[in-house]
Amino acid sequence: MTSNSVQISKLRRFVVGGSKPSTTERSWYSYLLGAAWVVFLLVSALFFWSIISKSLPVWEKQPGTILTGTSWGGPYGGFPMILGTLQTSILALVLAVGVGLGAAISIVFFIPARLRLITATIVELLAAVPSIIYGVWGLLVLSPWMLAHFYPFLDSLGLTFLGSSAMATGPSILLASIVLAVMILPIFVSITREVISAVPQDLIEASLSLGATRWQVISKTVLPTARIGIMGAAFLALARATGETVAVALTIGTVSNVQWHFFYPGTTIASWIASAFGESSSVDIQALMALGVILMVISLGVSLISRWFIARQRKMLAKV
Amino acid sequence: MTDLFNTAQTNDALRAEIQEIAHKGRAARLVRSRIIIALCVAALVVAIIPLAALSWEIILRGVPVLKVAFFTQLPQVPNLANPNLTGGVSNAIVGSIALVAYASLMAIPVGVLTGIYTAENENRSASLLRLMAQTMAGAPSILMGLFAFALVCQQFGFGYSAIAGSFALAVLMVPVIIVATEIAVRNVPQTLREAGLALGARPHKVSLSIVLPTALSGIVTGCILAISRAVGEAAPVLFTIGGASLLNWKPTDPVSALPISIFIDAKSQWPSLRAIVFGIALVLLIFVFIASFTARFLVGRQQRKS
Amino acid sequence: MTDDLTTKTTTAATSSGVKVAMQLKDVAVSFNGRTAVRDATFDVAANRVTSMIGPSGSGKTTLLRALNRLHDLTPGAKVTGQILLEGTDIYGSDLSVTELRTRVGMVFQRPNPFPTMSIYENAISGLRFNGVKKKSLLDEAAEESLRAAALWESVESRLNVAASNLSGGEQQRLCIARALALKPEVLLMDEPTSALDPIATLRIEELMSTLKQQVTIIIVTHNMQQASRISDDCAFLLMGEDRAGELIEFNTTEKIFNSPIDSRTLDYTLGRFG
Repeated sequence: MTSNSVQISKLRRFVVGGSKPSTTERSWYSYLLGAAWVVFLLVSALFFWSIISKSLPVWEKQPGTILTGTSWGGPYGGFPMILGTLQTSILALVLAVGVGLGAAISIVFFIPARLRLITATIVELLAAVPSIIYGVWGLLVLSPWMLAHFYPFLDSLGLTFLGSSAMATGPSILLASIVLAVMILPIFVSITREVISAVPQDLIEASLSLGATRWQVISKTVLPTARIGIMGAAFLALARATGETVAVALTIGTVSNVQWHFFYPGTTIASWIASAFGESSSVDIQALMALGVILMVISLGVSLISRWFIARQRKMLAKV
Repeated sequence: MTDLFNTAQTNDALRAEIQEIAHKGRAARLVRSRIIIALCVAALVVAIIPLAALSWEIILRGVPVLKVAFFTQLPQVPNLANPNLTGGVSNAIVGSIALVAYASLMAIPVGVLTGIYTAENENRSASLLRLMAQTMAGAPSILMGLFAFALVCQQFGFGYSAIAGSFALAVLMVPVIIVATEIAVRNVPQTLREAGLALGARPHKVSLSIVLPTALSGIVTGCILAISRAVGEAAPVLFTIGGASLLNWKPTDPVSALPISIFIDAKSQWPSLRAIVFGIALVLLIFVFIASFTARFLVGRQQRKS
Repeated sequence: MTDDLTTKTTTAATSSGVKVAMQLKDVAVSFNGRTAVRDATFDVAANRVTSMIGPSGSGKTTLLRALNRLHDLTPGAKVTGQILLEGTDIYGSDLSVTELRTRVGMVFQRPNPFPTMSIYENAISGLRFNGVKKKSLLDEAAEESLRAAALWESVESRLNVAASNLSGGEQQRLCIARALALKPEVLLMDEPTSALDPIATLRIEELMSTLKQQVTIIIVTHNMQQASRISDDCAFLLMGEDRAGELIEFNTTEKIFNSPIDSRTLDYTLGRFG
């Protein structure tokens, strides 16, 4: 066999798969599958490449400004968007974990078995609701309520660093974070549920046999054992929060300056891209693509961290 | 092993000391346990409240909007003379159907076939595919919009069009379908496959006539869920479809879509337009819930069969 | 099923005036209405090893787990009859379940040290659950219990190492130490050596004779040679036609194995079924 044909048959084997020695099995079926997944890989590669390549001029000319600059237009400063992404995602995560941890523990341990299916279904349904609907609910329902009741309430607690409720208009970092928290709650709860249920029953029985109260069993045995997996769930929820677009676009007000007062409007990378795209020149669009690259990096990085945690949790439980 | 313990008396003394300490704090520990458990259950209630509140509001405000005109008329813009002149969303309905149809045509074959490949192979290419699918499944959907804009609108020159929007949606749907298909095919018992091979059928015949029919409901479920997601997504189509006020549906035409109508009307200054939003949201919600329940039903039926 | 098994209700011990640690009177356990084990009546003498033997399905483990109220965890589980710990009803209102479990400890079939804790932390975990904070007390209890489990010498230099670093047999002895640290009156052991290799099994069996000086041991085992080696008293259970386990005979181990009263006991000990 010439070296060419060796290479071709190697490539063919790589594409159509299997380590079957027989080459007569290369049926149309294998080629069909091969075609499909090559298309998928190609498109995925193009996905990364096209966004990155469209943004290259920005990285060449002003890499620093896009990360640290604070105004948009002229030199494109992406810092307000990056900051806003972090503000909303982290606050949403804190809220979601706070409520979600208790909810997951309840579903696994305290809800009677017959109710468990219903509550789990409800949480799953929450995950299926399109994000635009959360955005609309946030803007048209939650926001007026918060303006009327919640902002003044927080004001009365003396939390002036949030801003003044009198000057709040509705869309705000706080509103967006709350809506985000509701959106990422289902995925956090469903993974945490899985992780908690995977803690072996005999560890629970061993703790009880030592005279632990029910909460002690959970806090001193179940949660420490599941801790790594719960971190994985949290980072996965965080990844989702960073990428959320329309729900945030509707509720955050989308301004282009840095904002530290959570009662007032802010911005995030995704919502800024969505809002500013319509009126952008082709140069503007390059900068938006650059923001897209930043978002890609953030979201991918957080997802990878999450996957690392979940893999470690699986390894640890396999040893027990 | 003579001197392993203290004398019996010291042991009893220690036992008594331990019991005393344990007894002293016991009541407090039990109360604390009950309080925290109550807080956890409260958290569960809090977690469910948003869904209840959201569904309630949407039903309440959406039902009045769902008149026949809503489905059949084109949208109209209110003015000071006619503040309640809003028309319907027929353009968005047609546009959404077109978008999802084109997207499914692209996504389902690629996704299902790739999913079958990753389920039946354990080599390097399969691992790479799985990694890619998982990564893409978690990617922010607005990036798909950017991608479709760069590739289809600009590079391929289609401009704002249905094909661009469907492409973005297809990129969104494929990873979901791949993962669901792989799970469904993997769930087919190995014994079934071996039985087919033992009868002398060639591997691809076994896959086509034995494995796939068994995995079909799982695959269909994955497709339903992917379609359900695509219908509701606004970000990928936001700047790829252009929007249309007529009943456009051809791939090269700019089209409208239900989520986009929501996005635009929600920010409108006219209360009558804002009210329409709830009708659209209700339609989307019903669609998504039906899809979700159908998926659950199919999965449940499959589990009962096996 | 005959009724003239008076040995079911006597104990070799009480008849000679030895202290009784636990008493079972007509104890039965059912799950969602289906009886799993019934008619268990015998006294467990203090500072002796009482074994529960019988083929699988005879309800031995179910009965054991009733003694520290582990069935409270299972919805649909019902325990009837009376179980007394030093004269107090364990299901009564005088004894809280957490207190009961500090006085009746348990060791499980598979070694289950807490994976996120060190050897030291595992040993004192029971004390910590019950609010013991004094370092000197914790250290003392840890050392004593680890010595009692014949583990001290091999771990004293690495107390802060993760418990998963120990071998299977060592992990099980750590679990024994963990239970002993609370200084319980009774130690329940549910087939503690069935997941271990023969050498590890032997080491744990060797512990029994010294351990029983400090705690009363009730051990479930499907290995009747083990029962005959280590136990003083023995309860033989068997599954009846209605698939519910019942106590067939209770006596000193010597009598159970050499001169049993019931023919089924004889059949079992001779290995005719099992």
